Amino acid sequence: MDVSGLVDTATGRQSRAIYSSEELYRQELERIFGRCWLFLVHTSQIPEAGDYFRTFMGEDDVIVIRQKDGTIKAFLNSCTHRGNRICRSDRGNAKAFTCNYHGWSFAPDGSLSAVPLEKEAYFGELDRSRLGLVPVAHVAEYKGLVFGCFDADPPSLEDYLGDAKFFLDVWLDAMPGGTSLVGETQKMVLASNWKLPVENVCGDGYHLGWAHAGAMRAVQSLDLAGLSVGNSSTDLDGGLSVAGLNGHMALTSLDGVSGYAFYPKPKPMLDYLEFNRPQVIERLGKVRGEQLWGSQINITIFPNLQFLPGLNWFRVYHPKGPGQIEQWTWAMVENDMPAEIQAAILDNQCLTFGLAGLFDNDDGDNLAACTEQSRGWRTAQMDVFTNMALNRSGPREGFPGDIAAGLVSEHNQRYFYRRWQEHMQADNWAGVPTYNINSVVAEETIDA
Amino acid sequence: MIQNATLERPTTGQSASVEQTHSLTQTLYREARMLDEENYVDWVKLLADDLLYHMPGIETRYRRDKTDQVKDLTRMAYYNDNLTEIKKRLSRLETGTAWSEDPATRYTHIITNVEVELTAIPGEYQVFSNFYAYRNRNEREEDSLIGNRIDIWREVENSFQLVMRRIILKHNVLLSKNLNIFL
Repeated sequence: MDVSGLVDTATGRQSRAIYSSEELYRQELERIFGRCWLFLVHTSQIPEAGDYFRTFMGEDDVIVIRQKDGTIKAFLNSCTHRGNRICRSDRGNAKAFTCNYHGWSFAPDGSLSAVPLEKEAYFGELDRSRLGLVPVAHVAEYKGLVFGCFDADPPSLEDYLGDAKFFLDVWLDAMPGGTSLVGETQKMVLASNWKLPVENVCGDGYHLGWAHAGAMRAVQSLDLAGLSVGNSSTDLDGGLSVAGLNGHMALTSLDGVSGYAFYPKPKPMLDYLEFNRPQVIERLGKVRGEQLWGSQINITIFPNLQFLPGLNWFRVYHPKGPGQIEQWTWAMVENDMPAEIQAAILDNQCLTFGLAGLFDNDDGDNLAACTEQSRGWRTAQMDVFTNMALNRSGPREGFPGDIAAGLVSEHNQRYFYRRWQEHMQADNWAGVPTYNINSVVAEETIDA
Repeated sequence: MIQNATLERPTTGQSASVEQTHSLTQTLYREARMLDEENYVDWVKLLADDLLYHMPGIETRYRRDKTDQVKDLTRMAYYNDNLTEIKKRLSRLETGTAWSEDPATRYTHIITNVEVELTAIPGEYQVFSNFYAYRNRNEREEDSLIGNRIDIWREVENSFQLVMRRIILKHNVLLSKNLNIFL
């Protein structure tokens, strides 16, 4: 389906059909979820050989397994005999995955290791070497984040992430001990199109002071520059909307502490930041060490991964049809943090975001209603708009990307829909443009 | 909340008296009515200062996986609240700017299978119950939350206060968009 008229990045317009059309959704499964690198697991979630974690790539059920040699492989969670699901646990450790239906057994490397009655009923004629689990075509890791890709010939994960790595490293590489995702998976069904929560978190600082006014009044303990409860004012110097990074985005404040603005007792976290900041500056340079580490940052990796260092939630959205998603959330920590801080982060993450989180209570309701209001005969023909602060972006010293000032703008959302359109129009990766606008990564390199 | 406490109390295995059981059962019903009516002003008065309100997240695991998904307080929990945190949740509603709570959600809490046991601490009772909480919102949004509760209630003068509550919800994927509810 031709999507050239459905999104207009120049004026900030999207057709509501993109949130409700079944046909477009099938095209998204093929051209976005079937083509892009998708987040699978953090290495901390499967540390030992035989550890596995089940997740989804688009609507495909996938098992990610730590191998004996320490590498990570991923397979479709489907028996190659009759298609049954071979693993029914969310995570665990296994020496083999045995199908409940007829007992075919697969080793952690995906090979078909045993078939009941192989000699007697198959007369020894079954070619087991051709019936291993179907692997995800590419699996690669970036500093603990493991991604998978179904496409036969994608760009490398490093190239796919591009200059978004500048922001990823503010969490992944700030401290020498690395990072972990902690806590069991918080899963929730939301009657929303998958693009709406991504759009919301990737750039929508506008909704924070209004939609979350109640939650902010309840839990805010520090000032958050650039935002105010009730949207009575905004400070354009307080933050940046960063896009133009191969479809990835960052929305960040610049004060180095506001990530912890919603913690009831932020002092231990602020002490941790203060104590470690010199070495972070040494590792990441002054811009990131002083202005980004500890700040409220929303990071989006196209298409469906988002995480907020500071508030410390990490989330993927699994599409379940045009009007439904499963939202999976974990808490994120730096391994160098003391155990008390890690525990406080897990608890506060659950209090603020996630199933019973004060903020998610607000978002779920709005995103579901936006989806619903795109399904009617008349509403499906209408447009919605992300046209705030058009043509007010540019370079900024020390940062990669095309940047608009402030947290309140719709600059990032326009780049998100631009990327969506680029993928939906292209037949394959050769037709998808690569852009890292205003690249500065070369001069302030990540790994010294 | 960083918690060293656990919900576990040494129990005597003995049932409470008919009178005690009746009083506590009535307390549970009264509490359910308060929650149905969103009467949080009176509900908070039922909560002890040293409250632990705990709802662990439950993953789907094979039986051979012996991980304690229920009692371990260091694991992810949808609620792991002390009284201050409960009050913080309630304060969001009181701001008048929690737009997603207006119009109100309509709640019914059904409490069943009540058992009251004595603990080794005089005046503290372990109370088992099951709940069926029904929510309906806007025009046709509805969901049902069903599970078990294990409480510790403390006798204070002539009434009872909730000291600890563990809520064991049966969901893996929550089949609705939030948990804006106390169970």
